[in-house]
This record gives sequence, structure tokens and C-alpha cells, in this order.
Amino acid sequence: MSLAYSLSEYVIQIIAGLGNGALLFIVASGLTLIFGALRVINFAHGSLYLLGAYITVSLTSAIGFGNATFWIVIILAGLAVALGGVIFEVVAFRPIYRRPLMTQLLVTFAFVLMIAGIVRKVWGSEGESTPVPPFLEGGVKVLDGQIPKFQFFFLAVSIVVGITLWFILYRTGLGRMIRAAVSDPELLGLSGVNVRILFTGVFVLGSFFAGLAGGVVSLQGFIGPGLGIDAIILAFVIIVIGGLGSLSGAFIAAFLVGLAEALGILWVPQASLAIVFAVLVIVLALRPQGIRGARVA
Amino acid sequence: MSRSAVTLKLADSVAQLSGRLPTVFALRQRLRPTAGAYRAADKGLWAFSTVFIVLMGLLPLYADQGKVLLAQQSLYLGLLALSLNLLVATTGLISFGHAMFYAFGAYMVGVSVVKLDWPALPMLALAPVIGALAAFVAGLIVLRGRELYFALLTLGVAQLVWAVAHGWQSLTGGTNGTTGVFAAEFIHPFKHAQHLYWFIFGCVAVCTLMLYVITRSPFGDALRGIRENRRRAEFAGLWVKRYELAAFVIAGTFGAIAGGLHVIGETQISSTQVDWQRSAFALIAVLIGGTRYFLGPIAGAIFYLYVFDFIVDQTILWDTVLGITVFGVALVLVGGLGGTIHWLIAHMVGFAQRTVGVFEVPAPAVAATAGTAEVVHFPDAEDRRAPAPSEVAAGPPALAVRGMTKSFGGLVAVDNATIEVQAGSIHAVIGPNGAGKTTVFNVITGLMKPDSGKILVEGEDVTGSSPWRLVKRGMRRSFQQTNLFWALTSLDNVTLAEAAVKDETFKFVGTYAPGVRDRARDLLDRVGLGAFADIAASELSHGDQRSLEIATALAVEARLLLLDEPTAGLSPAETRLAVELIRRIAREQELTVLFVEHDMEVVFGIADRITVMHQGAVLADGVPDEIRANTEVQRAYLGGAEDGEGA
Repeated sequence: MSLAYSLSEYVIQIIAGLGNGALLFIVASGLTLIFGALRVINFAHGSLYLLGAYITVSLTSAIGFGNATFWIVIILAGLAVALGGVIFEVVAFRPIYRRPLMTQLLVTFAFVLMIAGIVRKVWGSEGESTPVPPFLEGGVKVLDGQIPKFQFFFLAVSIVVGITLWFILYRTGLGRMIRAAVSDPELLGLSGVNVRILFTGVFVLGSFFAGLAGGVVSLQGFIGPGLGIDAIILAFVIIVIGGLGSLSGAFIAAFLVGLAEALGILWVPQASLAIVFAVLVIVLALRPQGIRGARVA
Repeated sequence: MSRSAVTLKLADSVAQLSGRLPTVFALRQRLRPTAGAYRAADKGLWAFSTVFIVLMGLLPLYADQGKVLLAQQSLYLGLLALSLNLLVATTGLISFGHAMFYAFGAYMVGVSVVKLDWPALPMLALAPVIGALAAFVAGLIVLRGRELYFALLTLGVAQLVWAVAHGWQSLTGGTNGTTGVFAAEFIHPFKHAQHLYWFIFGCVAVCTLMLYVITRSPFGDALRGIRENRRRAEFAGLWVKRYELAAFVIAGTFGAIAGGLHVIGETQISSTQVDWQRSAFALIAVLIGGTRYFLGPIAGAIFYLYVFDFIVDQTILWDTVLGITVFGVALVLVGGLGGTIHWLIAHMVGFAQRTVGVFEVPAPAVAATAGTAEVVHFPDAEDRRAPAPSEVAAGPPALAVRGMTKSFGGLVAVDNATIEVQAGSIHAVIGPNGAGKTTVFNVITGLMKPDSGKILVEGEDVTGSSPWRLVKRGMRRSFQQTNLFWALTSLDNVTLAEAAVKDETFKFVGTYAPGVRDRARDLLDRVGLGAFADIAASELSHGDQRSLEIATALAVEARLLLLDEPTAGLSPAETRLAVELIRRIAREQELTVLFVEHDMEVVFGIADRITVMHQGAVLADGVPDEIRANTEVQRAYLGGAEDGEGA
């Protein structure tokens, strides 16, 4: 275990950790939104993220990755995944809303498998290297070292996503309905709201952000088939630490996890993963509902 | 109309139009198996399993090496799934991280052989020990969560274990694993691959038998009770956390044995073999085999491995095929392999019965129909004995609530309430809705802690005790919404309560002590449900369910009975029966009864003493005549005239 790093090494690693956390927040935000409203844990959320990444790669080969086309590509990736989300919600989720927990978990897990197979068939099992648009090439000089520009981009995007979601949830009629659905879906239905369509809408929203995150992660230069699994496990850790259904909790937890992982890599490289899960276990053991979650019996 | 109803109607119309075809309905009737067919299917499933076990046992004699290796693998992976099923099916705990025990067992054996040069087989004997220890520690953590949080906690802890196995390269070899060197020592005790197979088969068979015994023991009954209705289990006197932890430890022990066998069978273990995918595999195996069938998980593991083995060769989309299979089984073939085979046998037998008339299995004697509800005269005021002051037993009251206060946020639900219930009396608590009556009950019975105040049972301070402890002391409760083990029969409901109070359920082998079932049957007779002993609780009428709940409350040395609106939802005839029952039992067993009621006829009919609550505070307390005449009580119920009219 080594603590002897220079300040700039620390800064670089911490920013990288925060950037990672930012990316995870974008993924986790959709997951916690879907759980909060629909009360189903969606294992396949990471797979949607994966699809977003691979679709981005395919689109860039078709359209190119210039400064303007970059934005088009990632928005398109988000929309494509959102569309897939509609189909997914109707086929996979609607039958399982009232089913027991094990059925829900296994059905969503089944889709993880299905999507993994499709990804392998369409894009192979190798992984792809991904280009970076010109305005994000290179790094920013910080102290003695360089921080890649895309890390700051991650941070910026996560803040924008956070604010957007917050705005939708707390300043629009749609958001009010979603929060009501989180609280009591039956009552909402009795108030004349088409809860079915609302649920699909929430799912589409969450999936869009998963796809967008997939588009954004490609800036790291390389994506592989394991992306979905790594992401979903960490996303779970984040939304559980933050409190299931809580957006602000996911925000805090995501950066906490990113930081923990980054510092872990610096201090105890082999245990960096273990540290993240240890944090999860400790938080849950002390406060089972998570940092910002509602108290559970 | 629902979609299926429309389809049926359409098909029916088509069939009718064609004249000679029997209607769809008639066809379905013809194909539906009888209850006898289902019983025959049960036996058929046993026969099928036995044949299969024999085939598996004799496998090395007729199959090639590759198939034997695959079968071997499916055996210890099957054991992993079987141990998980103790949690999933029997206790209702969905664990997402069962692979962590596989890891502990496997690394225990693997590391000690490779790093410490210890012989493998004795190390296998230590695998269950480390499994139990790990499960105990992990259980304390993960059982802090319920349902989904429990599942996610198990995932987290398992990932932690995996991350350690992955990262601690020097000890475990990480993804490269602990391998190789000990191959020679292993093969030594087993000169032939056959012997290795039989050793593993033998170990798995013994473990399976042990798990079977445990599942069928009183402990298993208690676990099933907890799965059915956690609250009722607590109020039957079970310390639920202890039973759940015990189940977790047992599951972990056998999971670790499975891991140890893996190392013996494959002479290596790496971190990729104990990750979350292994946990997911265990759950999928349980699902595919059918959670309700004891050998289901092993069948599921075998099915998974063989089919997987086949599919991987066929297509690059093997993941997708597996996903579709899991999806299909989870949504459609909910009974899994076990359920499907059972269904098939039942239909085949049913068909055979109808065409050939064979396979007749004698139906059990139909349960005698209960007598019609007798009209019982409502007890007159004179019949009821109010304890005269001289007859009041000297000594502390059976139950005393002193100065109880309980708030929920800004709402004061109970405000400095004091109630004293004399031993042997029937004491009613009444009041308008929102008066705090159920909250008082919840605090007394240990569901909540009061903000201030004391609860004394026979003079002893029991404030803050857990519900199960109070149950063991003789305090029993019924709920506003009937709380039973719905899937169990009436007799099983009461038996479980009888056994739970005395902890006779913490018995992992065999059956209940003689007398437990007899006492349970006696209780059922006493409440008038003797004829319904073998009917599932969910199928009883509402009134009978209430009586059953009272029967479970009467188990073993009940001393204080708290009934929350015992006549809610009952018809006038049922109400009279319930009231008669309460009076009779209270007198026969010298119980003290405290009950909340809204039906004034009932209250004034049997209560010796009445406490009136209003907006959280005790408004009045006295004998029925006093309460009847109390103007403040009248005002509280009738909404209160502001200027005191109608004195």
C-alpha cells in the first residue's frame, strides 16, 4: 500500500475518479428513476448502456465524428436506445409488474443475456476503439500532469443531466405525475392518469439516458462487451447507497463510488474493487435504506 | 372482456357452428385431470426421480468421459443450487450472492492444498466449517435488509468476496486461479475417473439427504411459515431473525461443500468461477428445475449444463437462447421442469382414466360438512359475570399500561394513556376512529416502542420487548386484518403456533414431539373448526378464518389475549358465534381478554370493563353502566354539541 504520490498525481486520479463517477451517475439516474416509479429492478439497464455505446460506434462509422456530428450521434444513440426501451417495456416489463421479486429479477436478467448474445453477433466479441471529436482531443494541463478533456466533459454532462432530470421531476406536470406514481401508483390511476403510458414514458426516459451515457463513454477510446455488466453492478451499488428512487442520493453516491475506486487504485490497487463493495456493505449495514432513501421497515 | 375470454368465445362459436365438434369447453373438461390424477402424478414424479437418480449413479458404466465430466460438474453445481433453494423456496429469501459460499469452500480446499501442501480430502471436511462461519458473519449483515434490500445486500457482499478473491493475487491467484500442482495428489486416492465421479456422487447424495431431512423437519415448517407470513410467524412466537440466520448458515454450509467438491473434481479454482454469474446460474438452475420441487434445483443444473453445452456449439447467440429460455420459464412454465413433468403425468393419467379406466387412485374421505350455524341467543346482561370487587384477585393486574405516549412525526397518536386490565376479566377498548386504539395495541404487543410510558405484564416491565418474546410470555394477538399462514391447512397453522411458542420448531430432524399435533387438533375442535383441519386457511370463510386466528392465539399457555376488532366483517350470526366463542374460551382457560371493538352490542354484551379513548387520550374508564351514562363519551361519539345541549 503506497500513499506517496505527488499532488498532481492525486489531482489527476481524483478528477478521473469524479469523471468516472459522473458517467456512472448518468447510467444510475435512469435506473433509480425506473425503480422509483416502476418498482422493478432492471438488470438490463446496463445492457441498454452497452447498446448505446455500440450504436454510437456504428453511427460514427456511418456519419463521422466531427464536432457537430458528435452531438448528433450521441443524441441519436440515446433515441435509438429509448425506442428499444419502448419495446422492452412492453414485452418484458408489463407482464412482470405484479409478479414476485424472483420473477422480476430473472426476467430482466434474461434480457441481459439476450442482448449480450445479440451484441456479440452483430459486433463481435472483440471490442471497438472509438474516435474522439476534435474539440475534446487532448488534455488540460494541471500542475505537473495532464487530464484528458473528456473527463471534464463527463462532469459537465452529468451536471446537465442531473439538472435536467431534477427539472423534469420537480418543475413539470409530468414530473409531478412521476413522483405521484412513486408514491402511490394505484391512487394515481384512480385519478384518471393513464399509468400504463406513464410507466412506459418513464422507462423511455431512463433508457434515453442510458443510451446517452453509452454514447458518451465511447470518448474513453475503447469499449468492450463487458461494459454493460461492469456498469450495472456499479449502478446497483450506487442507487442502493444513494437510496432506491432518490435522484440526489444517486448523485452523491455516484461520486462517492467514483472517488472510492480512484483512491483505491492509488492506495491499494488490488483491492480497489473490494473497497467499493465494502463501502456498499458498510452503508447498507448501518442504514439499510441508503443515504437518501425513505425508511424501509 | 379479457382477451382470453374473447378467444374462447370465438373458438366456441366456431365449434358450435360446425355442429359435430364438441364445444371447446367440453373438450377442456374432458382433458382436465381429476384430483386422483394429480395424486398419481405426485407418485409418478417420485418414480421418475428415483429412476433418474439411479441412471445418474450408474453413468460411468455406460457414458463416455466427456459426458461423465459434465455430469460430475452438474452434481456439485446442483448441490449449490439445492442449498440456495433452502433460502429461496423454503424461507422466501432470494439471495443474489450464493456463489460466495462456493468461493469459500473452493478456496479453502484449493489454497490449502496448493499453498500449504495439505491433503485434499480432509480439507473438504473443513469446507462446511468455513462455509458456516462465513454464512454466520454474512448473514448478520445481509439479514438487516428485507426482500429487495436483502437481495441487493447479498449481491454486494458476494461481490466483495469476489473482489477479494480477484485482487488478492498472491493468495488466490486471481483470474489465473489456484491450479495445477495438486493434480497429482488428487488423482492418487482416485485411481480411476470413475471413482472420482462416485465419490462426488456419494457426497452430493449424502448432502441432498441431509437437506431433505432438514426441509421436512419442524424447522422447515417454521421456515415455510416465515415465508408465508412473516408477521404471523413473529406472533406465533418465532424469533424470526434467528430462524432466517439459521437457514442462511445451513445454505452457506452446503454451498461451501459444493465449492470444495468443485476443486476436488476439477483440481482448480479461479475468481471467474465464483463471480456474480455463478450466483445467477444458481438462481436460474433453481428456476428451471422448479422451486417447489425438492430435487428441482439439481434437475435444473443438469438441464442447464447439458443444454448449454449443446447450444454453445450450435450458435454464437447462445446467450440469447439461454435468455429466452429463462424468460419463458419465468413467465410461462412457472413450475419449471418439475412442474412440467408433473403436469404431463397428471394429464396422461387423466386421459388414461377417461379412456381406459385404469390408474384409479382412491380418493380420500370427503371432509365431513360442518353443521349449519346455530342461532345462539345473545347473552343477556345478567348472564355475564362482572367480577365483584371482593372477587377481584389480589395481585398485579394482568396488563397495565402506564402513561403511554406515542407520536408519529407531528401526530400524537396516543397521549399519556393509562389502562389497567384485571386478571380474568374481559376488557374492551372503544372509541371513534383515529382514537389511537390500534396504536396502543401495537405498542403493547411490541411492534412499536412508546415514546414514554410503561407496559407491565403481571407486574413485570416488558416495555420494548420484541413481539416473539411477549408471545412466549403468554401475550397473544389477533389483527384487524386476519393474519394467517394462508397456504397451510388449518391444522398446520395451529400446529406451527403450538410448536413455535415452545421452540419445538428449532428441531432440524424428524417430526414434532408427540402431543403437539394432538393439542393442535384439540384447539381446532374447541373453536369449532375440527372438521376443517385439512382445508387451506385461504379457503375458509371469513368468519372461520377469524376463529382460526383465535385458535392460533390460544396455543400453549396463552394468558392474555388481545383481539383487534374481532367481529369486523362478520355477519350478525357469525358475530354471535364469535362472541360466544370468546366468552367460553376466556372462562374455560381463565384468560384475560383485551379487545378493541366498534360493535356496541358486542361491547356492552360481554365486557366487564370498558376504556374509552378519544383523540389519543383515555376519556373514560369503568364498568359498562358507568360508560353508558357518561355524557362526555356520548359527546365524543356523536360528534359533540358545542354548547352542551342534551345533558
